[in-house]
Amino acid sequence: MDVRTMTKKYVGQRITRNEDPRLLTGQALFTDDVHLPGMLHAAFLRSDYAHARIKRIDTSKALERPGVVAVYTAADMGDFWKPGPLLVPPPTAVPGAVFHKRTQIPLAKDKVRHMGEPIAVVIAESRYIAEDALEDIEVEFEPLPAVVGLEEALSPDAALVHDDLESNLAAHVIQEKGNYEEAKAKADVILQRRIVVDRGAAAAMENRGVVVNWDDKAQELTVWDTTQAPIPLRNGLAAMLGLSEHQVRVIAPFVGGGFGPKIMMFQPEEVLLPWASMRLKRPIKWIEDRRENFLATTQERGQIHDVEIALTKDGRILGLKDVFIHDTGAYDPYGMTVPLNTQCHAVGAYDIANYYTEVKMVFTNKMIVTPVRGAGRPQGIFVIERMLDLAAKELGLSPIEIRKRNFIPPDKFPYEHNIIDQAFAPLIFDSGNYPAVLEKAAAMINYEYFVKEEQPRLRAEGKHVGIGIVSFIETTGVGPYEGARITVGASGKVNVVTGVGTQGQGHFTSFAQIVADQLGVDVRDVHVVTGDTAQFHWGTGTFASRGAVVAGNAIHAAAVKVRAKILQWGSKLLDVPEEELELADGKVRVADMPEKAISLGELAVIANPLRGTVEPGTEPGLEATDYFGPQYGATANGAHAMILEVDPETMMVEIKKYVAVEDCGTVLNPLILEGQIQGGLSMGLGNAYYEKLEYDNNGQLLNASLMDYLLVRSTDMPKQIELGHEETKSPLNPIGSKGVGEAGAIPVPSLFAQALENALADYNLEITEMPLSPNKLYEMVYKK
Amino acid sequence: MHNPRPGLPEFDYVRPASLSEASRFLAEHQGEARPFMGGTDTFVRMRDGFWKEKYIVDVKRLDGMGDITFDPSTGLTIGAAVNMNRVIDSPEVQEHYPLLAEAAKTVASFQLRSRATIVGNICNASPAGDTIGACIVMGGVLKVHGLDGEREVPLTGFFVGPGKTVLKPGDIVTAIRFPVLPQGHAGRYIKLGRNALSDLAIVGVTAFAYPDDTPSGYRFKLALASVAPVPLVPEKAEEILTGKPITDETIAEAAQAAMDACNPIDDVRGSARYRKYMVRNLTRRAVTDVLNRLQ
Repeated sequence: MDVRTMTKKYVGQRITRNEDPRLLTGQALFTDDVHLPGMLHAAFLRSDYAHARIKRIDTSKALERPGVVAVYTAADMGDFWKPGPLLVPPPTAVPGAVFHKRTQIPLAKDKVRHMGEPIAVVIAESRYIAEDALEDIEVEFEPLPAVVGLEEALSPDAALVHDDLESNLAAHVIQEKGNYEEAKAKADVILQRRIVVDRGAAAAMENRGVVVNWDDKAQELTVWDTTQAPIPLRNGLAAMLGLSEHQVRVIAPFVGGGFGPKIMMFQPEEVLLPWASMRLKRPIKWIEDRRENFLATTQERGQIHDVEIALTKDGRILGLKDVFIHDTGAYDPYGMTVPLNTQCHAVGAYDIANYYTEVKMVFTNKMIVTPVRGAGRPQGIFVIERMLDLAAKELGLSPIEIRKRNFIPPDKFPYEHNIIDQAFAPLIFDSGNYPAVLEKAAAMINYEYFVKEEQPRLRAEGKHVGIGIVSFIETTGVGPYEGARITVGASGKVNVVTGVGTQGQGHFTSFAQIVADQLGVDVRDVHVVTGDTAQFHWGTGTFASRGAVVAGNAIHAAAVKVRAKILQWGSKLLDVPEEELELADGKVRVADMPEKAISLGELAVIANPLRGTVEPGTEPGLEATDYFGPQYGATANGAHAMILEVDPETMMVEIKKYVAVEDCGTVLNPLILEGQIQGGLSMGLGNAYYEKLEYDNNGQLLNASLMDYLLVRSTDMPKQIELGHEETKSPLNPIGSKGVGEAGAIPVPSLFAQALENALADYNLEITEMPLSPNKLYEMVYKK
Repeated sequence: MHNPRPGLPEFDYVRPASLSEASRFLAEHQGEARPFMGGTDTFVRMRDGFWKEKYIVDVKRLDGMGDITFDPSTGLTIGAAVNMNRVIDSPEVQEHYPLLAEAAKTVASFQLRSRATIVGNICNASPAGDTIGACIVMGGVLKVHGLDGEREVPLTGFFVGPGKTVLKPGDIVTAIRFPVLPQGHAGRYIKLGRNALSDLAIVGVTAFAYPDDTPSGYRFKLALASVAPVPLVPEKAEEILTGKPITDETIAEAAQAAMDACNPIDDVRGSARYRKYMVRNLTRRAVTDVLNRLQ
């Protein structure tokens, strides 16, 4: 027996979270918990206008206010004022692609381009003084017409968001697989629809925040930041400030939700405050308030699609054509990640041979768009799932049947799409068993029984109950790479450090499980450190549902190396071949004679001798560092189903039952997985029926508060949620995992639409727009 | 330099020893002082910069403010400082004025109801106030302490506009009094928010009735929230329900009259058109529920 393949102990188990005792007892450090002696506070003057020229700024009165230490505008910044870097390369991999880089600036100089854009920063002895001083600053604006609508943005007489461009076109990308027009010529059925998805907020419970401290004696800058990407932020700040990377330490402590906007880097606040701290030689804190979070934290979703689908009369998709406009807001620092994701997800889980997709990305006078949980995927899935539903109605097929007729069959993986994905690599789906996942969801919701027995009975009672079922894919776990260092200490406890930040994903537990299995220690004895550049300084960040896949596999690789070192030492000290050893109970021991053992703590001391000599090539300690970069991203998939009831007099909806079946490869911890799905589901429901950012024609955000912008609450969640799993291991990484962080949010709007149409069957409703609300649905149904 | 109340403007907290002292202080500092109960509206509005009072005058510990009293011959009195959870839990309220408990239960969340008060809900004079309709239809009368001593002010005519009432400088509402209700009464409050719980009402319909010697056999009272600048009483709808035998057609006619009486606005939380239709649909539903409860 090879003892190295001993049965898994922790991976796959419902382990309660290592971090929860600290979080639940208020012991965890968040950015706002950082208090430093002599700390100053910052407040930002933000534009009330969506689009205006700045004629004059006068800060003199603000500077006179007692307690104000400094006021900075763009004019005070000299050479430090420059647009941020493009975080994602331009889509040059696509022939003929057009891309205009216009990245965000630290403070508006000549012109403001969205409501909430910072114009000046006040640094004062208290936030209270700083906020008061904002009112002392005089700014003379010349208001300009605001560019708000996506189609209007492209109209020849539209105002220009960026004066140096000929139009508001930010990018134009056409991708084609096969030949759509030829496919269309052979089709029996062709459907065309306009599909609209509007904006929502990420609305993390913890707003953004930064605390900076320039230690003039040590010549070191420390930045506590609610970022999802501490290492790239450290590298960028060092470059901007002319410091070495080792003079800058970025710490992303506990963060109360990321959801994407916190991966957006070199945000004005986190660039300006380090610069100001170096000038003032004092620590500075800025904690975003909720209104600022609505106005000045990046958002997502706005797209308008003109879609055409061509099918045979038995419901096989011959081709899909999707021409859409994507709103990038006032700047495009995140390149085309979001619309490229949309292009890659509008094919759904289906074998589509001919696909034409064209996106025009436009600048508007609204907050910048960067990924928010889902990141373009929900829009793509909404497009294909809606078109399939409409085709099914047209052809008299059930939603399940039309999907089954079009799924990529399990034997066709890896399935190549011949278009470019968000990583500018060919889109390839690595693995999956899509029909099995859909069938499981159908069985769990009892689809056939509901449609044949329960629904007719409930309808006869006058109840408007509906059922829906959809499929989706999620490209996850993209590169480039992550790394980790694992050290066994003299106490026998294991320290794991990795570069990704953590925002509630349970990394302190799922990563610990991977290590505990390799090293045979208690999962509680594995201490995980994330998001501190002083501890580990290579990596990119937590985004694109990649933590468990990329960092998880890096940790796995490092753990395998430490395990090998332990076995080597064990074999030498216990004088038995490695094959006869096992790692368990925090010891290396002889499998057949468990009493013949050395604890890992003792071994750690032996491996790091204080005197004597070591053999040539010996590395000290029980420590290893390793990295993992996937060949390409693993594609997860799932099917969600729900039963809901609509009150046709108010259009209030109650979700009676919700089923989510996921295939994210190897499940590390079902408890954490369920939390991810439920959290994603609540955001997806928001995108479907509650949350919509309402901009008026002047680019004013009308619902910039949690009173007016409606977040989904526990009382709006389904009464019953059942989760199912299929495990098709990814061949792209040793653990076999795929990401799941965004999965919960992706299919919900399309599912909600199908279930609403089913519930309101007697109203002949067709839903091609999200988000809806009871109000909006009522007006759609009773428009006459 | 450290601000102990970040986000709030600076103010002084004043706690007068008597109602007379409180009234005098409020009158002397007209426009810059405000009586303070649970603070659920006060602090939100101050934090948002709408109210910039220099003085917050805490009157919630003054005589009788914290009492609920019920007398079978005179009725119910709820002190201004009694929080909504106490109202909801009060056996007397549950037995004799269940509509008030039903309405109070729809306000925000349990946590908020531990601070929010019925009198505060009334004095805040939001057209969306959930408990105001119940107070109107059950004949609530405010006890007011002013510079000239105590007086009673009926809710009819009390509301002037959003956030505006007939109260004068120095006036402090100390309690709300309800008469003994007629035998066999029943009520219903239906709140429509945009979600299941905790949103502000985009429409609220209060219906209340009791048996009487009328063509319908009942006297009906209605009040509508969030569909006019002030809490609205659709009198024509009340007359229809009282003046005609109750049939489905009568209820539909009254519901239509309620819809026609209201004049809502479009805002970010709901369109005027939706609100009007919701008044019709929910009035029909509330009246039907009341009729079921009457039997």
